[in-house]
Amino acid sequence: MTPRARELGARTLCAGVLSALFFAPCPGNANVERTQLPNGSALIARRDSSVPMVAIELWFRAPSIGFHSPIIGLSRYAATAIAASAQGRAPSLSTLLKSLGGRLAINAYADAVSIAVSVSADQQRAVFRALTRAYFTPIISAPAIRTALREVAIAGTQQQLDPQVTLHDALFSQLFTGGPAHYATTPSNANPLSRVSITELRNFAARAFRATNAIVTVAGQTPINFANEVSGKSTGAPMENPIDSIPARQTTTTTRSFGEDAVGYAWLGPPILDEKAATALDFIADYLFRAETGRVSQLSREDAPDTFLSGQFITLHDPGVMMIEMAGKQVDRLQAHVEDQLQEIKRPLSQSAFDRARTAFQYHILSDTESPLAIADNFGWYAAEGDPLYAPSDDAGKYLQVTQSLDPAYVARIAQQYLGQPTVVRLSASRK
Amino acid sequence: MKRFLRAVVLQTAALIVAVAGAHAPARAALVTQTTYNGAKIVEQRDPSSSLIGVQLFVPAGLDRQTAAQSGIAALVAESIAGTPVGRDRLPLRDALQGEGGAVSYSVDGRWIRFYVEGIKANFGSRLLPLFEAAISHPAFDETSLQRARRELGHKIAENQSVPLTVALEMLNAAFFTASEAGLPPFGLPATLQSLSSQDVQTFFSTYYRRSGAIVSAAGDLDAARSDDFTKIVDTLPAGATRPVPVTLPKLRGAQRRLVARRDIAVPWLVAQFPAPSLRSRDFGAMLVLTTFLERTASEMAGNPTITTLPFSDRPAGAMYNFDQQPANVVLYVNGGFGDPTRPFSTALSVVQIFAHSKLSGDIGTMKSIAIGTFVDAAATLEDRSWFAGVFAEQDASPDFVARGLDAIKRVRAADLQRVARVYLGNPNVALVLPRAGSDTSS
Repeated sequence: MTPRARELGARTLCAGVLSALFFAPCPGNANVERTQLPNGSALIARRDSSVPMVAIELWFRAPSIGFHSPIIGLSRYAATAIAASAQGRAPSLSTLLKSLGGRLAINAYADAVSIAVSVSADQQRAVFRALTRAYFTPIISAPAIRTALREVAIAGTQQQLDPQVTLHDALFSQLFTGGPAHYATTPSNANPLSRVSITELRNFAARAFRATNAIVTVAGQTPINFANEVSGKSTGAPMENPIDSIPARQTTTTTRSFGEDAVGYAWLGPPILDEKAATALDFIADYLFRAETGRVSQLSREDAPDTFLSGQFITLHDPGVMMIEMAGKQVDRLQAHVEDQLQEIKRPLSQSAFDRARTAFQYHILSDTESPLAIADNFGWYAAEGDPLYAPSDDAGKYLQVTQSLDPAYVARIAQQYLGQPTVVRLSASRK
Repeated sequence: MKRFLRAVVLQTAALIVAVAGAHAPARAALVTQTTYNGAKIVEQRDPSSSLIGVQLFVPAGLDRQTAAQSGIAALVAESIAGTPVGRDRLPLRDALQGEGGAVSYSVDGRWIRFYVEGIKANFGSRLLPLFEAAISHPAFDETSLQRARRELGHKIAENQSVPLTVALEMLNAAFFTASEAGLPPFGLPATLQSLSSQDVQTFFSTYYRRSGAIVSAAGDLDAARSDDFTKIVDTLPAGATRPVPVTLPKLRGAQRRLVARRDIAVPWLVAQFPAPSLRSRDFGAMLVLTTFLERTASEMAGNPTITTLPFSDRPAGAMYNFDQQPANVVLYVNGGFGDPTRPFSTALSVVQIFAHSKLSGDIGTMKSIAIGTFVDAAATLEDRSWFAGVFAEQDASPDFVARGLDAIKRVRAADLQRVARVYLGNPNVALVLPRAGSDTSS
């Protein structure tokens, strides 16, 4: 479930069901507010008076490749161009955040895009207004387009050198034969984006970034009544359904040339609404691959210290994806450990070992969702994927209850069910 | 409830902070500080948190070592983290994991700082007793030390691959001349090998004392027991310690440059300036100047970006190390974004203009940036307990948000000019270059 490292959803969930999920009274943490703003946006907020800052995020269900013919990186390009555009007489969102010492991040996933800001709590009202105004009534200026294109092009170039991103994109393109998940979210070549007209960009923004398609998440010290801070009424089409991508019918093994040796494994997993199975795969990823504490991570530190390792279950609407990425000089040794441990996990752990690992996992979940940005990010992701009440950042909520329902036999059975023959991508330096 | 000698409630702060340009300034925080058996206990209550985190500052850092013992402070701390505890005799790190927590440590010029964090329901009943057991009876047998040396060897290797830490180690060695606070935090492999079990035990027995220690807790402290934090203090024997006295030569000459070569891809330039302590009237002005230095160097080093770059991707940065004594400011430029000398020299030139020209413009934006940067560093319980501990240690209010924002708010243009002139004149400079023939050079 690791935040910021997840991709894509599939299948649809009807808008009526979604409304029920967004606005149902929260069964857990009384600090979590879920409501609908007058402009039709969904709001999820967790207030904490002891932290001196606030994180505010807008999440939109929007395919990274656009709504028509695939254009790789379109959602990132549009979101970045808006952040760079002066809003009438007001400065751009980017300029405003810089003048306040705040942060601005734009994250494009295959089926969603998020704009995340964090600022000193004292500045939140002005930033909230600027953020919602910029995206709900988007203005895109010609100079901002040039700046945004450069930023997206630089990001694409940098990602080509990153084995983890390269493996991630290659594995997803093998796991899914169609739909946005088949494509990278940032282009390695920005030329196609440079041919997108300002009208096309505005049309995408108008559809993707409308208020009724927005999930607003807020965390930190925030006394504000957000309903008073947004203008406009709820008009326009309701929230987009999650966008289908087409899973491959068979696993594949491919090899590509790259600057260093690397290997990636991936499996299709359960949908987000199969919460127990999804949580079991989160547990497995934590138990085996968490940095420092995971079993494979510890073996790697001793036996293959010059390697990179990442393993996570990416909670998605349908299906989820389990993914392991390895790179470095000793990747063969690391791969052997990974395969050994993947076989081990298909046998039930002893009850005492399981209890300890589950308690550690619960702590990791709470620790990973501690900061305002992590909380807001987590709420946004789970809402965008269609199960907002399952968000781990709702600390008294459903997720921890599900972790408590796991047992050794169930976890082993889920491993057997989902972690069979993987899709494999090898990156080879020797083929260069 | 034994020896419950809570002495003086120094601080209970509920504050309203007005910030430059703020529309709805409001922050209610509850930070308390007490003293107990010569130690300070700081508590920050966050009822919405699911976790509790505690920092234990022990004055047993680098300045308690001699040069021949370089690394012994880290070796003690690493050995404590690996001490077998509990019924299953697992290393402390693993034992805490299984009970829903974690421990980490850091080593700096004056302090060894342990951070223990965990699920609040388990904190006082399961996690702290394990930590207290390890720090009361650490394992310093040869097998444990070998494991600890191996772990420190990994950390040393990691540090040597990061240009910024290479440069900082060189600069600190030249900057701290009244003690050995500038020794490398994890020591040297050779000295680590030479340290015996007896050496380590002696260092521990001598310097792990409670007078001057600080316990800084944050989180849902209502879930903790009233004596949880005093019991941590009680794990340390009575007594106070002092740094090992030394006098190290200062760098001489007009051009104080240090050069190192490593297996890195691009050159880095790093400068270190003296800076005011956080109790100084110049504290706020230096916070503002540090963010200004960072912005200036960043904008010169790379194309301005629309989004905020993660720390590792930033072309330049500046850090105000007000936790160190003497305090200092570090400015760095990553050569991966082009020739680092241009942004570096520009930033230094702008500072000189600051120092010698009267500022006539509005400094409100500079102050707003400084405020945002300051609070951005306080996102987690670990951050907040660290801040409060550092402020308490220097006898400032542990309500660091109030203190920090108030200091920034009071800054005037004349303060910036004075502070630039007094502190930012003649830095030590470190240059970390790719090793000749390195296959990573580009």
